[in-house]
Formats: sequence, C-alpha cells, structure tokens
Amino acid sequence: MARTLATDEHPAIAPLRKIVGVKGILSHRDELIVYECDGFSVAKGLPLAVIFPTDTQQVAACVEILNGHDLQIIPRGSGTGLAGGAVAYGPGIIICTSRMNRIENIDMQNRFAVVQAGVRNLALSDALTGTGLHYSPDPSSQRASSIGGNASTNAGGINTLKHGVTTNHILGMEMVLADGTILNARCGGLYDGIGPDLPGLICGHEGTFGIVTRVWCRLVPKPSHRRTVYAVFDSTFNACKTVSDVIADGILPTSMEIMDESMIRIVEDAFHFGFPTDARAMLLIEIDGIDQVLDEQLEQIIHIAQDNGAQNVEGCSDEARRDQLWSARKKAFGAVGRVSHSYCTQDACVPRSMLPDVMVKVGEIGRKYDIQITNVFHAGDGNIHPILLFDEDDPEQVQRTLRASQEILEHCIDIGGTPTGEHGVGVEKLHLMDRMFTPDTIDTFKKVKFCFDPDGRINDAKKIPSDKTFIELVKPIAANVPGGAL
Amino acid sequence: MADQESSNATVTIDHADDLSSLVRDCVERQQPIVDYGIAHAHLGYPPPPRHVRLVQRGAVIEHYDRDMTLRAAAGATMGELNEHLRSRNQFLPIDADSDLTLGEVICHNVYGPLRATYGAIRDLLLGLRYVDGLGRQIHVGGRTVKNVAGYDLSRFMVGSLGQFGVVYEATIRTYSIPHRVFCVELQFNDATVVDALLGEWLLTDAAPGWMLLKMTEDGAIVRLGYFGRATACEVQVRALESMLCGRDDVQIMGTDRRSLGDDADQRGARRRWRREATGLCKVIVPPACTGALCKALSQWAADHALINVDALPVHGCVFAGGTIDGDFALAMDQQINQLIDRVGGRRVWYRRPEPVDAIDPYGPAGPDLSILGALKHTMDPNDLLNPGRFVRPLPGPLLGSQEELV
Repeated sequence: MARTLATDEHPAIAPLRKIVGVKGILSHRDELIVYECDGFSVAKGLPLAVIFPTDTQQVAACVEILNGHDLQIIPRGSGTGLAGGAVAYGPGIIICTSRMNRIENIDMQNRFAVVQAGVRNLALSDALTGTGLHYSPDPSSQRASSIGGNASTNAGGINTLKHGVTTNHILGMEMVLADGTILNARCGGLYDGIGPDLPGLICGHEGTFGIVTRVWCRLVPKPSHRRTVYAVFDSTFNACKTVSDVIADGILPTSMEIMDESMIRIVEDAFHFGFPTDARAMLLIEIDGIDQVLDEQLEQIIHIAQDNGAQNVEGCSDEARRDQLWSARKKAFGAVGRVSHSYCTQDACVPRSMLPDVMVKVGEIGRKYDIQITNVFHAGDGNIHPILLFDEDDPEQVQRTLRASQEILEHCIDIGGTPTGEHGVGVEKLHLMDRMFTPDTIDTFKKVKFCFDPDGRINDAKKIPSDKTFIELVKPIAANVPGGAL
Repeated sequence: MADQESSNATVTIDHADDLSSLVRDCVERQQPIVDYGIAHAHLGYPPPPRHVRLVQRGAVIEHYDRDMTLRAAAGATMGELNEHLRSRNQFLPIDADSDLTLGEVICHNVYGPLRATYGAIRDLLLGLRYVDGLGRQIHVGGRTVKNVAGYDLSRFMVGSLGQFGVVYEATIRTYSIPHRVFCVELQFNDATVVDALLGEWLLTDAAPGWMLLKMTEDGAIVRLGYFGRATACEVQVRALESMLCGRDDVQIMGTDRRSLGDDADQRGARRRWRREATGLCKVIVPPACTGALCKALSQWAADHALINVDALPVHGCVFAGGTIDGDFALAMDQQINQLIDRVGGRRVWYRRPEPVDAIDPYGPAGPDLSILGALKHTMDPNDLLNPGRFVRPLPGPLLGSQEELV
C-alpha cells in the first residue's frame, strides 16, 4: 500500500523514533486509520502517531519526551475496549503496549506470573497449560485482549460469578506516570501489602492514571471437573428467577448465562445447534468443583429450573456437548451481525434479584422506541447486555436507538445498578456519571486523577468528566463492527 | 455527641450527617479525629496528644438476602452482622473477632484462613460510603457484583488505616453457611515440608477450605478445614489421606466434624493470643517461604523466650509475638528483617512493647508511598484523619522524598 508522506511531522515524532526505532512507530495517516477507534467505533479520533515500546524504560523515555509537547498520551492495549477509552481526542500520541508481550516469570510455588502489559490474556493461559494453574479472568475478548488492558478496565467475563473479575486476580502493577516516573504498586508477588490497596485503585482506571507496563497476576488452581445445565423456558422472567433461586439455594455456579427468544433464533438460524426456536429463553449454567459431588448439585439445579417452569432441562458432563453449548453462547454476538448491519451493545449491571423486572423493562423500552432488542447476558452477575439492532442509514432510527439505550441505562442506575458492569465508561458513558455519582464523589475522582496526572496529559476526559477537555460524542452512524456499540 | 472541645473527647456517631458535621467542626478547630479500632489500637504510631476519639454505632441497614449482599453501617460489629445473617443461613466469611466493627475490618484489611476459599474483604466489598477530610460524603461502588463506573475507591480504602476517610457504610457480599465443616489436624516434623507440599496440594481434591499453621516445640501443627456437604468433605479427607499416605514427615492427628459456628469459634480461640500479646508482628512473605520463616523465627526465639508463631501458608502471612519486653522485641525485629531481606517481604508491628520508639512499626517505606502521600493530601488536606499513622500528606503531588513521609 502506498503510504502518505508525512510532510508535516510533529516535532515529537523524531525523538520518539529514536527510542522505539523506525519499526516502533506509525505516523502516516493511512497507517493510523486502524487506531482511530477501539471496539466502540462511534468514538473516533486520529492520533498523530502510534508508538510501540517494548519495555518499561522505553515507555518512560517516550513519556518524558512527550512532556515537552502539549500532546495527550493515550494508552492502548489490543484495542478491544468497548467504550472509546483508547481513542485520541485532540492532538495525541497512542502508546500501544502490544509489543510488550513477554511473560517474564511464572512462579508455580508462589502461584503468580509476571507479565508485560501487552501479553494477551489467552497467551498466559496457554503458557500455563498442563500446570494445573490458570489465570482466571476470561473476558470474551481473551484471544486478543491484553492483560494490561484487562487490568486497566477491570475486565469481567463469563466465569466471574464464582471466580471474580480482574481486580480479584491482580497482586501488583507497574505503571509509568505522566512525568515519566515508574510507579511500583505492590510489585513482587506478595499476597498482601501495608497500607491502602493501591493496585485496587489502579485496576479499572481505563488508562487515565498512566501506562500500565507490567502486571503481577495471581494464579489459581484450574477447575478440573465441571457440569453444564441447559434449560429452556417459556419466559425470560422465569429464566431470570431461576438464576436468583439457584444462588439463594446456596449454589455458586461459575457462570449463568441467558439468551432470550430472539437471540436463540438468531443463533439457531446462524449455526443450527438444534435449539428450539419457539423457546422464550435459554439458560446455561456451569458448576465446577469436586467430581464426586457435582452430580448432586446438578440435580439440585435441575429441580429449581423445573420448579420455575423450565420446559426442557438437560444436565451434562460430556465435554463435547458442553463445548457445543458454550460455543453457542460465545458465537451469539457474531450471529447478530447476520441479521443487522449495525447494533449497539449495552452493558448495565443490576442486583441479580431485579433481573426479571429489568428484562421486562428492556422489552417495554424496545417497544416504546420501536427498536428490536435482543439479549444475551451474564445473568448470574446481573450484568445485562441488551443488543439494540438498527439501520445505520436511517438517522431517525439511529436516534431512537440512542434514546432507547439511554433510557435502559438510566433505569438501571435509578434502581440501584450501574451503567457499566465490565465494558467501562470510556467516553461512551461519561454523560451518565453525573447521574451515577454525587458532585462530591465526582470531584473526588477528579482529584484522584490529579494525583497521578496533575496536568491532565494522560487520556484526559475518559472515565470521568474533565475540566480541561470536553468530548461531545457525535453518535449518529455506527460502523458495521461486530460487537461495536454506539 | 459528646463535648468535643475537651481534650481527647470521645464522640459517638449514629448518622453520616453527624459524622460530616463532626469532621467539618474539627477542620475548623484543626483538631485530629482518631479511630484506631479495637484490635488495632496500638498499630503504628500513637495518636497525636489532642484529638477527638471517634466511635461509630451501627447496624444492618438492608440485607438483600436473595442477592446475597448486605448493607451495613461501619459501626456494626462482626458479631452483630453474623447474628443477623444466620437467620437467613448466610454469613460473612471473614475471620474477624466478633467485637470488631465492619469499619475496622475494612480499614485494617482483617483476614484469616477463610481467605483461601472466600477471598479477603477486598474481594467481598461492593460499595462504600465514607466521609472525607473535608466532611463530604463520598459514595463509591454499589449493590452490584460487577461495577466499573468511577474509580475503585472502595478497594483503596481496604487497609487504609482510616487515613483517607471515615468509612460509615459498606455493602458486601455474603455467602451461604456451609452444611458442614470437617477439620483435620496434621503434625509436621518440619514446617518447611508444608512449603514443599503446598503447591501440589492446592491442585488436588485435598485442597483445604482453610489452613492455619502453628509452630510447636516438635515442629508444626497444621489445622485445616473442608466445607460443604458431608459427601464432599469426606471425598476431600480421603484425598488428603491418600496424598499423605507413606510419608513419614507428617501425621494425621485427628479429624473432627463441626458446624460453621463452632469452627469459627475455635479459630477465634486459637488467635486470641494475638489480642493478649504485648508484642505482635505481622509478616508477609512469598507463600512458599511461610514454613521456612516460621521455622527460622521459632528456632531463633527458642533460645531467648517463648513466642507464638502462627501462619496462613496459602497467603504467606505470619503472626509472631507474645508476652515480650522491648529488648526482645527489638531483637526479634532484627531477626525478622534479616529473614525477609532474604526472601522478599514486608512486616508491620501491631503492638510494640515499651520503649515503642525503638522499633519502626512499618519498616522501610514502600515505593508507592509518594503517590499515597499525594492521595492523602487530596482526600484529607488538613491531615486530620488518623494523622501520621502511616502516610503523611504531601504539600503537592509527587513532591518530597519518601523519608519525609513516614
């Protein structure tokens, strides 16, 4: 491909090139297009350059150079974020950690791994194959997403109900701050520290405190035995109630996932798994533990599902059948692309017992705005992902989609939930922060950010509103990106 | 509210608004507010001479039993909370004495052997409300089990020693009370055998729900528990017997079936010495060094005085101390520092015998102390909340040397 000549190269770029090498920087417009957005394709901004350091010292050196220029620094892992957190607004340089991909140490005895921030989540799992240990957080993006990115967004996933989200599995973090200093937050693999839990604060900062460069990951025994329950219901309400009843009965599954009627049809039409297309909801539950007692729990779950009117319940220990069922779940988002060129995936979380009513409300909002909404979600966590289908060529429909999304999220906040359970705020949900938090709390967030980044040079106006940078999302036409959201 | 004009007045607070008022009044008077807790009253530096001592009352605010979450005032004690939860067959899986308040548990990151199954308080905490050093009420997190809106100040407050805000309310996860607890007592000839075994042990069905190591004259006793249905516990005990079969360095001394309440009571009784000790030090090391550190410390102490050493091998946490005098504590501190220098670790003195100034309670400053100082300055700009206990505020962000902070 012919490259556009950089006739007006920013003066910061040449010294950056000296640090990361010619192959460690992109600064031509046609190369930068890939980096103008993350998985949230509505938020777009072309960076002046993207640099690819290979270690912490290079990151620190690049940040020091950028200190001399009035440029935003935007940390980026694999670009799989779903909230626009890795987009360059205004003149900015993206520091991409994808080449910081070394697993530096796996300490089996002390059960932790030290990885550079750009190591892919699945790469660590692969490296641990056969050891009996694993890194538990498993976001859907785990093939592509990086551990530094997961830590920065406090990524969730399917198995978080029992085993926790990213913050529960991070022991320490190294981060380069805005002035180029390297912050060491409980690095070293100890399971406790003295004083406040700084890694806990940094986890989920969405790249607004600094650039995470290394992560100390807690490793845990990998469950060796599991069972899966598949249940079909005549209403989403009953499927949701089953979720709540199972947990209230003292069982803590690793995952509880629901697909609603339209999603079952979408998946079945696409992949022909043999699901009943007249079902109103499908619930997948997985339990793990000691082999000899899992069957007892399986029966318990089946009884609860039947008590809630499940029409068809199947418990299985067969790995092939299990893989098929979970494959259906994991392919759901991809299948949506077959029926709608554009769709908007939302990410709210509510107390689990409110799920039945919330799903009814989501349906009402869809009807009110005449927008088709299909649902596949982490029911055990109360983490809903309504997917709003729309035609991007119809501006009026796009506006209705936006209003419907907004109403869903506001409803979830108003009943005690949150507008984001795992995707993050980024720029997408900035406008909801005032509804979620009190002014004093927002002010505290700003001051906390100031402690790490006093001049607002690192990813400003992401995660929390900024007094310095104002981002107004122009939201009409979403690109046709699977998983992308408005 | 009591008269807080007098020196070292104790003020009892029932409501968040009263707490905000108290903090604002103290800001005006530049009077420190101190809440060091019950079990941690002697941790770190002593409070400043003229201060207001804060006591919070509390209770369960809401128990969302179907969501398995509890919202409670920070002044509620663990005993009160568990008493409430028991009626719904739930509990808070934190090894904390029943007289400790929820606020103390959070601010001092109290945990025990149950952490092996349920995590520590940082893993259970969903939402937090606190009053900052300006008297403002800050609400973070909430009722949901996943939440990435806003910065996670809930977790930041865990272990904060009450220096960044006065926690007045928390929402936490609860768990179902296990059907049964099977306990096993093992005698190890040598504590380092525990280190060698543990890695593989945790990968088997014999992985315990909790584990506590106690040094004795004959080696180490490891007590452990399995939770769940009787059938599950039996499978685990058999797996343990199978794992240890043929070994001559460890013996099963006995097994015991208990209710969760009895199990918690017995663990509580075994850690009671920590509350009675005149000198108590907590040491954090890599988990695979736990037994080695316990052994070295016990061997060293055997020539000098009788001390207690117990540990959580799964998490590399060791408690050492007893009825000791200042000279012995100083010598013990030097010994601990030498040991952790070799393997990497940290230590903190929960209680130091007189003369307390001979021992630095926290040891060398961590590399994150500079940013903690900046955060302290932000959240408590007048340095009124438990001042000087661990982190002193910086005048500005990231300024000053670490030596100036502690």
